[in-house]
Amino acid sequence: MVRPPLAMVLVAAADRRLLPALALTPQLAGYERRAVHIAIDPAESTRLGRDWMSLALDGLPLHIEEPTAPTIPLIVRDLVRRELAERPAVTVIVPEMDLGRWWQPLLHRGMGRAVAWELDGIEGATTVVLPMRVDLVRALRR
Amino acid sequence: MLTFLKRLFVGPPLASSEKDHQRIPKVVALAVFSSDAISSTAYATEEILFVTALGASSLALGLNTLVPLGFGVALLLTIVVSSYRQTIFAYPSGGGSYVVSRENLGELPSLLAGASLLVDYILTVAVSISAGVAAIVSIPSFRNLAGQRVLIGIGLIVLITLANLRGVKESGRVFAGPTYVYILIMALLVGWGLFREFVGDGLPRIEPRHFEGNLVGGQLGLLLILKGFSQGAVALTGVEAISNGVPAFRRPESKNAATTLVWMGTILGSLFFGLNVLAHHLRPFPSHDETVLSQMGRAVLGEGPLYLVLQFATAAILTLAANTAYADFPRLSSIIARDGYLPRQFANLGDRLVFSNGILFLAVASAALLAAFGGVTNALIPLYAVGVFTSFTLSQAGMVIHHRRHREGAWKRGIVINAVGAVSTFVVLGIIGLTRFVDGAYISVIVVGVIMGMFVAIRRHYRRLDTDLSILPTDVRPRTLDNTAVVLVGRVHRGVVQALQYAKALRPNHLSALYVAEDEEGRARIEEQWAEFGFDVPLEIVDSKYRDLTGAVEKFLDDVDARWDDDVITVIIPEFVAGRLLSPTQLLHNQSAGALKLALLYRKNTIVISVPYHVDPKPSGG
Repeated sequence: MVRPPLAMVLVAAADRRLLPALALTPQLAGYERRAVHIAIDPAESTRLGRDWMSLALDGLPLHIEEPTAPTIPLIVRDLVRRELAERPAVTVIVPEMDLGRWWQPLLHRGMGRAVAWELDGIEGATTVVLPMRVDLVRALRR
Repeated sequence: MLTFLKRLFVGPPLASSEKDHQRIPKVVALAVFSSDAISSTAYATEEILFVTALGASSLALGLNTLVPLGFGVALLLTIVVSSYRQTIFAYPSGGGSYVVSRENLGELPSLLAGASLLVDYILTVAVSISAGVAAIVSIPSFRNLAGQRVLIGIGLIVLITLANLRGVKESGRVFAGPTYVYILIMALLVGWGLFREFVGDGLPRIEPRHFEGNLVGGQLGLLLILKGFSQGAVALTGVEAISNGVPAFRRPESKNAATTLVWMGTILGSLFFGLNVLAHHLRPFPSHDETVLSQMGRAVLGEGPLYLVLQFATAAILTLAANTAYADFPRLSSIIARDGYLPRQFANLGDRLVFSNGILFLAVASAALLAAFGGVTNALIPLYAVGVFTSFTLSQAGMVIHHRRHREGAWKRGIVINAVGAVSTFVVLGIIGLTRFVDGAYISVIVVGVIMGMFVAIRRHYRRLDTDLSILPTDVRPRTLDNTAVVLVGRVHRGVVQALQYAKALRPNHLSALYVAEDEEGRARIEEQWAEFGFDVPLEIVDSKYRDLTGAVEKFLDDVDARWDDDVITVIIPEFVAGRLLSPTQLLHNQSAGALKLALLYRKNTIVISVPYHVDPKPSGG
């Protein structure tokens, strides 16, 4: 049986970066929605699971996935391929901070671009980078 | 193409399950972690002579210092090895001086230890490579290559970098052979030389034909002797490498690492002291044309195949000694990055299960240093030992506190061993500071200070961000939103098609595409293209005579706000991606999109979505 398209929100921690994704995913009518965390650091995963429950994010179930490859983009590629075996489309939503500073790529991983690179050319896969403003920019200007 | 080249030189990705298989046995570990320490026997004796035999002193006086200074350095080595055995058992997860200082002495001492070690690893690569090249150009038939020192050195750094990007076990295999050949040929040189000198017919003395200083007479004061000692103390650089790399050993990790440390100390101490005794009798002289080791090799082994084996093995181990830094710099930088003092990218494992970013950073920094100092070992040495002895002192002092706190096993004996280690290395640090500061040690002090400042600034940034990003349950109340989606269009391309498809999937209450026209020509072109492709999304065009993209889009969104009673407006920006990393091409293409995105991020009730798409960066356009 063909399952509905999947909207997969990549989650590293339960923080403000999630807010745009939480506003966006309900708009994706007909999509199955899911938050996905790659369990690189067990302590971080445990903390996220606990925070997820305390925030009562019932509308977006959290899936914690074991790493199947050395890097997060490769793991996401494996996951997307697995899901595409039984769905027509998978949209990977990557919440990202945006500090609007030239040095941002030096201090932050910029996972969205790396995931987009790995998913490029996979039919049915789309990457959406969802930037989250950080008030740090204003604070730094002061 | 980039991916193809990466696979060709670095190899295919490894599965995470292979991580444990990357652990190495003691015999390989001795080569991987000890080549730095053991290889310093190739230049430490020469470095003593460069200080004690030149200037107001004489060759005869300089040679007379070799045996007592060799003994002093060997004694110091014994103390430091004994101290680090304690560390290995107390900290099986590795990290060495940085971790010990962090857990026992506090934040600032740990940052000092971390910065010192990082600088030291970069210097290890630069010094080892330059000394390796010196061994090659000392061979009479290769002396015409002396002018190409820097180029040869950088070529060798590239080779080691590629080997390390493939993974530690494979690089360990590559490095084991030359390390063991060097140990054997040096044992032969020292053993056979001393046998001939004391038991056999005696050795011929080296003729100091091109020596530029006094042969006899002169004066050798205490300061110069201490300076010579600080030069000889570079033989200890790399001793801490094993304590940093305990997790790379096979189980039981601590026991295997401690055994390997003792092997290393015994080999290093015996070779260095033996070589100094032999040099005292052979009377070699310091020269930039031929290394002291090469002179001694020719005197003991002749100029035949054994001499060539000595020179090439020396060049090989010195080149590969840099590998010790390649094993430890990435691991230490990943630990510091996990603590939030370095960019998080340093904590990322690459697809060959190595810390690729640390490896690449080390390669670039050491190559730059090598080029800046013209590939001359002697010029780099004064910068070298400061960091090592700073981290030794902090590590041993931290271990004293550790024993007092935990009181495990023979903790009182541990306190004595580590206290002796801390005091000894602190005294040596003082000697280095006193005698080598103006010669270049000040550069290391400044660089370490700058790195510490950078650590603090990075940590402050991440902490501030954590506060900014914290979230409360009231922030995430779910509700249905009325939504208008706007897709920004510059011209029609694959990325626009993808962005429109995505926008439709959002099922917005209203959907439109927006084009900002700078002139009539652009307006006409987009209208024609829109009609030609037959998109079922209305195209709205706004004029911006002064090319103010951000202002025009913001004004349009204000109009949309007034037109519809929306909860949110979703702005979808197709974003060009040229590669995995931010490339110059990408920066060129995304400057205006970036400024727009930043402005919209501050607009109330506006969600900004970037839909990345890839195109070949070569053709014009985007």
